[in-house]
Amino acid sequence: MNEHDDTYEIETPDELRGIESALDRLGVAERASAPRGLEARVHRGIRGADDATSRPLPMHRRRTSARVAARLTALAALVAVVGGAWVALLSTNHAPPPSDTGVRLVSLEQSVDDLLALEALLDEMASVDTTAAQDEADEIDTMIGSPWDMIEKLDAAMGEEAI
Amino acid sequence: MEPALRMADSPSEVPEGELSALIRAAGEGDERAWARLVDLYARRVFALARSRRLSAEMAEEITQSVFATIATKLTGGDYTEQGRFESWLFRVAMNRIRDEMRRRKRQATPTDPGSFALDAAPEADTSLAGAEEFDRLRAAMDELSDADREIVELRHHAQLSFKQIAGLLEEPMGTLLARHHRALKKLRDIIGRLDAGKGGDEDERKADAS
Repeated sequence: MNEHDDTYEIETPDELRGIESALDRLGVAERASAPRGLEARVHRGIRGADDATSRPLPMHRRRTSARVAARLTALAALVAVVGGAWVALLSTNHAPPPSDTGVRLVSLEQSVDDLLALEALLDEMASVDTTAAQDEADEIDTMIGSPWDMIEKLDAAMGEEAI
Repeated sequence: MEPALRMADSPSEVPEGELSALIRAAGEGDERAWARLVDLYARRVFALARSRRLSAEMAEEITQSVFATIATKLTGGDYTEQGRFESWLFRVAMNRIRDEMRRRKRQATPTDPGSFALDAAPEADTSLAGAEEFDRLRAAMDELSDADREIVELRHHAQLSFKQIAGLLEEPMGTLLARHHRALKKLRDIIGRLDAGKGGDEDERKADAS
């Protein structure tokens, strides 16, 4: 027989006692195989489950890191364009033939225009208001939570975990 | 069975009144009550998950998830203690395990037979005889129907009483007892068949060698 607390304990037939004892031994072995510190980690997890404010953090971090990356990219592009324009400007100071001056000035003016247009575009990209999209993503994130939460909601809806 | 294991495993060491007080205290956020509940049930939930040959990591994840659900409902006032805490806890655990097994079945494809392989269970009993016995038992349990297997696991891994299992599975006690006995008989027969097959293989090997 086993160690179960059982009001309705019944006598196991002799022919099945062997297999029943073997199953009890397997159960003991499986419980004993739990990794060290399981209880402490589960306890910490329970305390973490109460901290609802910790959930939006990953989304916020993703958003912040995406903004920094966009700004760095924009800065690198700006430096490259300004550098190119500076080199072009310097090259015009080295005795160009008088007949080419007009053409070069037009070219330089075009480059500066392009530079300003690109800068404006980058500024626009960096300052695009994504608040609405982010709010929507936050809402979805909050709604979904984790897959377990989703399953839990489904369970609750189906009354599987009715108390 | 070792006395120490019995002390740690036996659910009967917590009288009903004490368990109710623990549950109330836990619902009010008492850390010590939570620690006690976790000590009492975490390994039993873990063993239940392990009985499906899930990895230790997955079994721990399921255990964590079950207790997170219990904590949310207890502290949120969604549970009223009526002496059915264990049945409720292990119903949540069974649902988690069923979900995980369904997820694994969905992910498995016929062209990838390796994806059906489950994690090898660890052997707490390091003796060769013990390890072999457990391997045979696990192999036999794989051949049981899900319904029969659940009864065996809830009884022997989760250590629930027949009354609790009947409540959890919403079955009459007589039906449940009959099913448990039938499952034991099936296991005995399967193991007998596996042993006969193994013996037959050894006979063939001996015949080939001679």
